[in-house]
Amino acid sequence: MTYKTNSKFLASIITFLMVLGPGLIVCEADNDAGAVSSYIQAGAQYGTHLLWLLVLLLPVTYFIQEMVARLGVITGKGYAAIIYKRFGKAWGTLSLVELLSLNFLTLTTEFAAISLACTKLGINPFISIPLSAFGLIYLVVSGNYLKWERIVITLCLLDVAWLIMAFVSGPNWLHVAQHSVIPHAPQGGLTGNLLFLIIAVVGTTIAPWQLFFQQSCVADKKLRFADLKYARLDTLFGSIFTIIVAGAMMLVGNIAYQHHWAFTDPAQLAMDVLKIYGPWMKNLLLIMMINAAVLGTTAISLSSAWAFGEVKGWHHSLHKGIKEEPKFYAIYVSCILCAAGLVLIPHAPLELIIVGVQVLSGIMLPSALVFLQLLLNDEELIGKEFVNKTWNNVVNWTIIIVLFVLSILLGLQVVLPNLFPK
Amino acid sequence: MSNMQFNIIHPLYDAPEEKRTGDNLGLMNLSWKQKLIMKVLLSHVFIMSGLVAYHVYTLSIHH
Repeated sequence: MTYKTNSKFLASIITFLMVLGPGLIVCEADNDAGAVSSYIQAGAQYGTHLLWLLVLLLPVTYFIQEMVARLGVITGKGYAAIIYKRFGKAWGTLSLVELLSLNFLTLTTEFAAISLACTKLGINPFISIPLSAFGLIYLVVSGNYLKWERIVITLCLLDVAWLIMAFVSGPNWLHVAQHSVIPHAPQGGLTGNLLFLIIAVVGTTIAPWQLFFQQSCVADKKLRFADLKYARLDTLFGSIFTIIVAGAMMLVGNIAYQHHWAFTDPAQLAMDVLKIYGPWMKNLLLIMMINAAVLGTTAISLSSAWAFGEVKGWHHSLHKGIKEEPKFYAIYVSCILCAAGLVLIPHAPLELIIVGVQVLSGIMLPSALVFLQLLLNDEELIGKEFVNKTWNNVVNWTIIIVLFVLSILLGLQVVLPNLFPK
Repeated sequence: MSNMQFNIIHPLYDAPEEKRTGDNLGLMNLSWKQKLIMKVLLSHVFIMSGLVAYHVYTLSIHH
């Protein structure tokens, strides 16, 4: 695939479009079922008062994902492989076990959301779950990276529908602007519920699987040193788009806040909005919930399969089909089938798994980031020209400390439930 | 300059370039401070995961 042009500008645009993918997908796939639930809950319980949190999370998302993209371009290897190489088997195994277990729980929540949304659309889960599982498997096993990437980018761009729903919901735009730029605690101050929600929002906006996914994706796409600036642009575009979509989800949740509806879950909200906006809004909200879960599922399953393949030394590329890389695809397929199967078990404690996943993600993130921070200061590995600048390190350590403190607060709340007002 | 032509090749179809894979390197030399930070964070993951499990368990009882 080669293009020729005399225009430098056009050459830059074409190169960017060729590189575009890993950054956009990793960021947007992070707006998965758990994220939809957290953002809508934040909007339903606190209106637009937590929009500032998303704005704060924008640079955090970009800085973290940029480091992963940089490491992927320079080393041409996945995150799990590099952790094994530089930190040894013990730390490598530990980070892999953390990733795989959290990913499995997260995948369960994705299928739970598909089941919930399809039920509200009148489709039996025993039809919708197997269908989506086979669709997700078919999407990947063809052995064509570009086909997979184009389909997934299309799914990402479909998230524009959240913006349409947010506009239709008619929020007070002055409040939206004010609450986006002025950090403040909602009415009632810092309560246990608010703290839990903040950690869930942070944990769902930046999740450990994203580090593994983007680096492996960049390596699989064989991005070159010259592509690094475009990979950064891809990540920036993905981060901005993701945060805007997350804000739109909060505004959709704000409908419940404005009408004083009790919030249970996004699917129930879809049934409630039917009364005011008609069936199109209900159906669109449910379809976008499914889209979010599908995006999350393919990205999370791939992050597990890539990481496992890298560590085991198996071939692990989307360029080759299932016959050439049976073990790699077996991991991907197993992740999907096990999570889908668990959701179909009657009375499985799905709500508790959803809560646990979001919080665990926030807890595991600081330790996953420390590996990244150390690797991006590893001159021996990546060379002096690519190591973090001082400001990079200051920002990263600040992020790690803030996340660490948030999770300590969460622990205190669990041990001392009356520490924060209800 | 106007006659300069740009050939744009998709990364997947370009010749592979040499990467800094670290294959010739051993383990990273960590300072005692770095080791301490990693151990603290590891303990933090274990303790907090236990607390979350306990929290989820108590929630399940209330359900």
